Amino acid sequence: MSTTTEASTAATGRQLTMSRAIVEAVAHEMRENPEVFLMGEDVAEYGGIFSSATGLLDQFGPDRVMNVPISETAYIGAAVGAAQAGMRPIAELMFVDFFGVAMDQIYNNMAKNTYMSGGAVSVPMVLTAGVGGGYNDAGQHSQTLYGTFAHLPGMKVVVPSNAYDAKGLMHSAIRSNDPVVYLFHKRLMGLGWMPSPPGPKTAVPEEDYTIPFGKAAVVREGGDATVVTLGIHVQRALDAAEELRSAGAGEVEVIDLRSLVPLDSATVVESVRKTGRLLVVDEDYRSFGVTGEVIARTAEGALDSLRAVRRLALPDVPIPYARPLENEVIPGTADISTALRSLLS
Amino acid sequence: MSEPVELNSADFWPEGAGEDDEAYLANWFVRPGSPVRKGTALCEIQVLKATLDVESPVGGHLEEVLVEEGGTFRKGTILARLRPEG
Repeated sequence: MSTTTEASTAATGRQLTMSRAIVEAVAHEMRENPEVFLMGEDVAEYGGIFSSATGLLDQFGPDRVMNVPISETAYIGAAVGAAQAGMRPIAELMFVDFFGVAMDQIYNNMAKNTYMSGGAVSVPMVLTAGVGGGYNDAGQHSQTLYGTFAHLPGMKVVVPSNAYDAKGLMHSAIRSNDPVVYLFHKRLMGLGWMPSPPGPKTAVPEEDYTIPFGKAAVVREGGDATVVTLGIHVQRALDAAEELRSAGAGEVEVIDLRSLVPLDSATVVESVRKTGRLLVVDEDYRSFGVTGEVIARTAEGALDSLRAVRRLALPDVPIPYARPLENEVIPGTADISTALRSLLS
Repeated sequence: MSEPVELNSADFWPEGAGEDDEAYLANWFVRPGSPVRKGTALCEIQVLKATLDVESPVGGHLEEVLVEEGGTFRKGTILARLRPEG
């Protein structure tokens, strides 16, 4: 079973890292629409610390690719205002962990101004942020916070797992008339200084295309158990599923959610009706988060089919700095295999 | 059939980097056997903390990759062979 993106690799031959796929989508939208602009810390000359804006300053100049002072409050607030005035800003929050100082701008302004104005204004902006750990950056630079943004109403939340999806989701995000939070996992970007696993680099068409929000991808089919996940854990789930098949331990279906808001419950429920066994994996905190929500919706939609349920997420502690401790708390491929084996036994 | 063209790291070795500096192959963007145009970004390398894209010197096909992703190399290492078109 290969994904559609893998299938198309052979046809084009060109493979992009996730960071280059994102930049290609942003550049296309900036060429097509003069209202699109980018601002964030170190996005201009430096091209974004996770290479999410490489080369854009040279193409579009400092009026449309702007470095900002270290005040998330100011520039995210400014992006909300620009969006309400008819522009299409992309504001990059360097590390998602820094959202705290701009929380009012994000969840009271960006997410709610359409509602608070009775629909008089819309806020067509994209808030991007690097997420995730696995490289020893400690508790204030390693979180994903998927559940935090997905919990607060008024914003769409998307999480690509590979270059093909990253480009299509970014086109959709910039064209959306409502605010979108676009969370890219640092370890998926394909950076030379932070090597990625092989999965996220995929064939990427040169032309523009969109991937709709709220449509999960079944990236591997199987009849014995369902793994629901997103971001970097898609590849780890695929690796674990392959390991189980090789061992004759079962055929595992893997679902990449791709967006949390809207959440494609229907695809998950349909899969669990077939397999009866559900494992949800993510890199956010365990309690009150993605894993609990997916399980709750599955229980609501397919209670009679559920025979076994497990979840893997970060224990409810700040992410440790020390490598062995961080490796212990972030779910790895072996953790997924172990959980699947217990689910199938 | 045309003669293969070697992608020699000496041809794009940065001025500031010396003979003994080690470079790192961060990413290949083209798979062996795939068509390339002249100027297509073939791979991304790093040397002395600088990152640069290596562009195809010819149009044709990428025939063989000799330094894999994650590999290291020095000035003068052949990274790949290309088969020019026509």
